[in-house]
Amino acid sequence: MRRAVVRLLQVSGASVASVQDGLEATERALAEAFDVVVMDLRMPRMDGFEAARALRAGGCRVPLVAVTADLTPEVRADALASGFDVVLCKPFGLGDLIHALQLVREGPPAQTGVVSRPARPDSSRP
Amino acid sequence: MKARLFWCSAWLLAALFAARAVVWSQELAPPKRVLMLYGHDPNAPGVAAFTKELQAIVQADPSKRVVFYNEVLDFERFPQNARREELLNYIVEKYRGFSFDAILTEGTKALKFATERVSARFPDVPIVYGLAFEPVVDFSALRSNVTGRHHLLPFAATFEMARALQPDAERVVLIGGTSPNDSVLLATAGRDLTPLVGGMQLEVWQDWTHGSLLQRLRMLPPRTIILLSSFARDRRGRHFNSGDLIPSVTRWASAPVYGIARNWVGDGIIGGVTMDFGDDGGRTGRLLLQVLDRASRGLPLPPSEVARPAQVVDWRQLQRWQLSESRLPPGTEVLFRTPTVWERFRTVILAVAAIIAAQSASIVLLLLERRRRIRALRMVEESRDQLTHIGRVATLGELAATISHELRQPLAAIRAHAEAGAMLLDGGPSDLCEVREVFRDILSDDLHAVEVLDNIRALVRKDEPVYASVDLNTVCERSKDLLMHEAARRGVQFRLALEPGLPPVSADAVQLQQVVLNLALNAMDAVQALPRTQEVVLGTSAGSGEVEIFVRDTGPGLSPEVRLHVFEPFFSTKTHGLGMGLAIVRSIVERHRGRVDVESGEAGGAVFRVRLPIADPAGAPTARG
Repeated sequence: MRRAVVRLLQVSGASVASVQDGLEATERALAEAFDVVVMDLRMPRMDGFEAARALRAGGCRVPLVAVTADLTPEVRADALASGFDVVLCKPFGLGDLIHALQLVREGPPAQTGVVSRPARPDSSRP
Repeated sequence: MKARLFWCSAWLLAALFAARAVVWSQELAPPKRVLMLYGHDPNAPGVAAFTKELQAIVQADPSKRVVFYNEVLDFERFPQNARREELLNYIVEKYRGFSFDAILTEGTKALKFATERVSARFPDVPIVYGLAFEPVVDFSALRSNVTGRHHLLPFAATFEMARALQPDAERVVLIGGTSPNDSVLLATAGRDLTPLVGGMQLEVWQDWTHGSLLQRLRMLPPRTIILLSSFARDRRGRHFNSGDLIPSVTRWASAPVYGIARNWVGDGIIGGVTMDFGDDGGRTGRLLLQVLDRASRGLPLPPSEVARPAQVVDWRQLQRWQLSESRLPPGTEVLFRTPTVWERFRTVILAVAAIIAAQSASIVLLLLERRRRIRALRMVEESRDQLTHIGRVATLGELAATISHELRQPLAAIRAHAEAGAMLLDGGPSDLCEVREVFRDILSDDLHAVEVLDNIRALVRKDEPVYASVDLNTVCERSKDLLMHEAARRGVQFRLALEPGLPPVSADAVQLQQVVLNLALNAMDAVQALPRTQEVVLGTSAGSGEVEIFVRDTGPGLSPEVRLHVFEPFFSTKTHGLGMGLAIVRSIVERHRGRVDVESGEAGGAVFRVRLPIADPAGAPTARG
């Protein structure tokens, strides 16, 4: 899934950095300047909720986009409470992502971002 | 008062004395003397039967004491008339000074001897006769001191019976002996039958030796009626007792033989209208007692009686000659009938029939019961299959969120790949290698989606169990994705601990997957109750002749009480669910001839172990529901 989203963003013109898990995502997002951070809610080592809380606690102000295949009102509320700005339900398209970011920033679409690998149990699958 | 007592006592004493006097008079009364004159050999069967019955009647009343003085005249064997006077003198001398109360004669000649000779020497002594026949004596001319019983020879009636039994008979053969008495009887028979034979041929055989008679009897055509009369002597002067000839004559004769004496029936003759000498003896005895009584009181003697012959046949001879019993005259007595099996064993037959009927009824009931039982078992089987399927669908319901997640993952990837591919192509000349890679990724994700769907469809389908060789590790691997996602969704750590190289079991793979899913979800439910590190391990191991699936959790474990009931239907410690999950697990495992147990884990929690027998090496499935 991570591979597909990275490709989609790259094809659309964004410069994309991709990491394996929530902990790595948090470290890089705090260390580098990204326009948007896209994370799966299920990730190895540190899930999306915890990562969002860590980013917000670390002073990160970029839009945080959560993607999940199990979107329920409770999950959405938890994600927003953790610091995410937008929650997208799989499957989604580029349009959905851009539209969501526009709603957050009220400006032009993001040009760069970080995509975190979803917490798939089969690590061999992209 | 005293006077009344005196008279009463006097009456009582008088009555007692009178009663005692009667007894004394009986005890002291002299016995009645009867001179018994036998005209035949007393040992001849007919005469012996006569004497036996006579004695039985006369001796039956002990108060009437009768003493017999027997003289055997035996005129049949010693017919010399010249000696009769000497015989009379002998008797007179023998009993000189002796008085008789009655003279009893046996046979017609003895009666003639008594009336013509003895009576003159013993005047006024009453004479009673028995076993006498009409043609020898003119019974109407007897004096007033003579009475008795005589027979009318039943030749005619016997012939009528024979003709009824043999309507197609063409010949009648009359057989008699050469003694004077034989001649008289044979002449009587000829005279009686002549007007009755009609067109039939009547032959009278008399002047034969015993041997030649038997030879001749063999030659007779079957449509012959043989009527046997008295045969006391043959042509050579050989003497025979009455009835002596019957066995040999009937054995040699080629046609049925009839006779007129009841004591002949049973020795080989068909039967006839017969004289019963035994019965005659009894009745003559009663007549004698009457005579003794009346004579002592000076009363006239009772009148003479005529014996009534009886129709008697031998059933065995009817069968031998194939004569129909239905042709017999009404009232015929049938002797020696062999009872039918039904008549002999009616009670046993009825009992056996009742037992057989009862057993048959029991068998029918048991068969019906067995049929009902088979039907019920089939229904139970179907219900169990339905319940198993419902349990499987319910498990999938529990996994709905996970299934949705499992499907959304490849679908999302496919969408992203497709959108990226389209954008690549929209942007002008593209790197074909990258486009090809996009399509490959789409194909890969699509295959993953199909795999997820196939797995779910197998669990949902309501198929008959298919028993095949199954590797338990494969079953666990197939469940892994669903369980991993479900564990992640619940925040539970889940891992596999599979022992490689397990021998296969004979099982339905779908049902075993159901077992694995149920146990794992049950374990996840258990560990979710605790805040500490939550882990569920699904593993396999090989044992002796069996393989094992185990599910170990770090939950709170089960109390001994709960362990006792945890596999029972509708038993649950959870707030949700019907409590059928583990009951279905046990049902499936038992249908696979395995067993499922639960025990406490070494580090707390619970361990569920499912042990299944290793498949038969020959390949035949060993597990059945």
